[in-house]
Amino acid sequence: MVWRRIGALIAAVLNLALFVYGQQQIPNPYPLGPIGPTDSRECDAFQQRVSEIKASYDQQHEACLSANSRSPTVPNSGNLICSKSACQSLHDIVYGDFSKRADEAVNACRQQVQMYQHALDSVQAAGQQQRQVIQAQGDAQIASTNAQRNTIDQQRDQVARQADLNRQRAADADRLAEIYRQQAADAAGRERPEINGSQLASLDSAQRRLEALRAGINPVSAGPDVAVDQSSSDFRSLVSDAKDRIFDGLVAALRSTGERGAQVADVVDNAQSLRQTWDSFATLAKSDASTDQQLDSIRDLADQANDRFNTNPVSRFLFPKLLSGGVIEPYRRAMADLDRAMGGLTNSDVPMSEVNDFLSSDDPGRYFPFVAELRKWTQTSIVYRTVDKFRQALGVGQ
Amino acid sequence: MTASTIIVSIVVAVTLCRSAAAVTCSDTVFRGFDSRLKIRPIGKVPDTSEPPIGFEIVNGHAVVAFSHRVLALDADTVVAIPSLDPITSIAVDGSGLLRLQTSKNVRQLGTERFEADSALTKAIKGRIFGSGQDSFLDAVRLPEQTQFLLTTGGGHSLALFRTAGDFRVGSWNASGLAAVIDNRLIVWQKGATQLIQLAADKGLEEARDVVLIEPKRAVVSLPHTTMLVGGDTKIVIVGVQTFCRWINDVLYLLDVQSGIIWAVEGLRNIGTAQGDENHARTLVASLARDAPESAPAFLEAARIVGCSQARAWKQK
Repeated sequence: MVWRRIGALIAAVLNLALFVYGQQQIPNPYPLGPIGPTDSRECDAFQQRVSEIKASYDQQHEACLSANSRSPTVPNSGNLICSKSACQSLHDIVYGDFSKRADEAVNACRQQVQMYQHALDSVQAAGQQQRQVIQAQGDAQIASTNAQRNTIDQQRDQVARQADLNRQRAADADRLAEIYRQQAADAAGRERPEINGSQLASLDSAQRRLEALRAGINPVSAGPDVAVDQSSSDFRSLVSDAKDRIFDGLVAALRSTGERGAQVADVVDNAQSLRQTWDSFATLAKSDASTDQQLDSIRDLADQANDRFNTNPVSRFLFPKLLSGGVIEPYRRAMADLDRAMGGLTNSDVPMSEVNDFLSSDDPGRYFPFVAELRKWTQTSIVYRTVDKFRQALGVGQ
Repeated sequence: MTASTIIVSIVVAVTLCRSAAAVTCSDTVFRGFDSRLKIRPIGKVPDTSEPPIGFEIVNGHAVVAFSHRVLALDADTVVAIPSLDPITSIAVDGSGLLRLQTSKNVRQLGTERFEADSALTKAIKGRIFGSGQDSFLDAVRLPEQTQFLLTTGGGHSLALFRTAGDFRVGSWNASGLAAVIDNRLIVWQKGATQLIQLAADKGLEEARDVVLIEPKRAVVSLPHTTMLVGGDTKIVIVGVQTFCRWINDVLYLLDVQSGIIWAVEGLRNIGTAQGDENHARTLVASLARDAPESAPAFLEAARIVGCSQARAWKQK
């Protein structure tokens, strides 16, 4: 009993609170390995600690044997039985499976580290794979973009070829116009020999030529207006059939009307742009899209065209009319405007009495204060603008 | 007598003959505004080669619709927006939002384009009109009848009344409804329990526009005159065909021939039998005794009371 107490005291001194001599087992004498190790250095440290603990048990065992040297020796002692019964627990640790279990714990630690590394490698491999996929996608996208760029380049080439063709057509139109002009001059000489060479004769002859041209190129007989949305097939056929004759004829007519007509025609140097717009119209009209889509697209085109051409003096009176009501009606109006334009060139100062006869005949004094303003408005033109300009004109908020 | 003398004599004789054939009251009509009215031009439509089909005032600015375009007029510019679908009518609501009725649908002025107004397109069965009101009027032609419906901007309709005859023209403003049905001018003051027939005249069959200005007075545009009808008389406002709108005691007239848009004030001063006669007397009295019948004041008086009466007063 006394020795047990001494042993307990020694154990306390050795800071082995759980260590009890005699038959009491030391609860869990085996060191626990690190939890969730991620690095082999943790296992190395654990192995080092196990060695130190085992060395400590060896020393304790030796100390116990020394302390009990005088106690009776147990017969048949060996690996399993300690020679001093008081030291049996330490003997069990030192000669039992401590080393084996410690090695197992160390091995387990190393296995866990290995598993962690394997998992880490897998994740990293997956990440790498994902990066490769993304890279591949990026490459594909770049390839696609390049392909699109190639397509755009092809389209650009096609547009350039079309532009060349249009330039060729415009040159042809110019040559044709020159022929018309020469014919008009020749006709003037033949029909009015008595005033040959005068501007009046040239204009008169040109006017006749214009009438002849108009008769030839006007695809529309007088009658009720043709609704644009009457049917898509009608619309398509009207546009595709009429546009060349309409526009080419119009330019030719302008150019064939003598010097003043030529002056106007000179302003149509960008006739090619107008022609291209007409081509766009025709393309739209000939497409298989629904009528609504066609009309919406044409509306957009009309907006763009209005913006593009409202600085062109000729288009200010011709082009908006061509657009404003579809195909047929504006063409008819354009012809009327052409007449007016031609008349306006010879007589640009229209008296107010022709604008509103009661202003000058019934009570001129009463309307005199307004004459200057009315004259100013007489010079005002209709300008085709986008809807926001329209709203501004009405003072409607954006 | 030399040839040159003979020519001069002929020229003088012709000139004298032309002077002798002076313009008389019977030869011409006074086409100007009634001189009691205060007038001012507020704009002009540049191109009058095609007839307008609608006229409204939005925020004091004129909007004129033609078959394939609509114009906005401010002081210096005329801005146009084309419409591929033929425009049949225009209207403006109380907030100033413009609507176009086309052969295809009803459109409203959006921020980027005239966009389809699906609610009104679905609701409107006939012709839409309205001048600055929260609701629109829908005139629906039925067999031998015309039906009027009140329609909100959201597309809810309420049947107002039916009347026999074909709808010709109409308008809907703060005063109420004015419409010409066959040869009858009918008006309906907002909230009234019955329609009033202001006039029945064959000339109304050619009416071009009409607007109610007071409960029992309306302005009617005819092919050659614009008249004030109501009370105990009818009087010519101006001798031209117009489109007319009435806003805040101002009559806005679009002269169809010249394209000039006038703001006219003082309509309460005209259109009574006695007042009009007194005005004619004053006009004649203002003339010198040797003033010709072609004098504007005489012609204006003759337009009110006739040539005979004007002459009689002038000879006194």
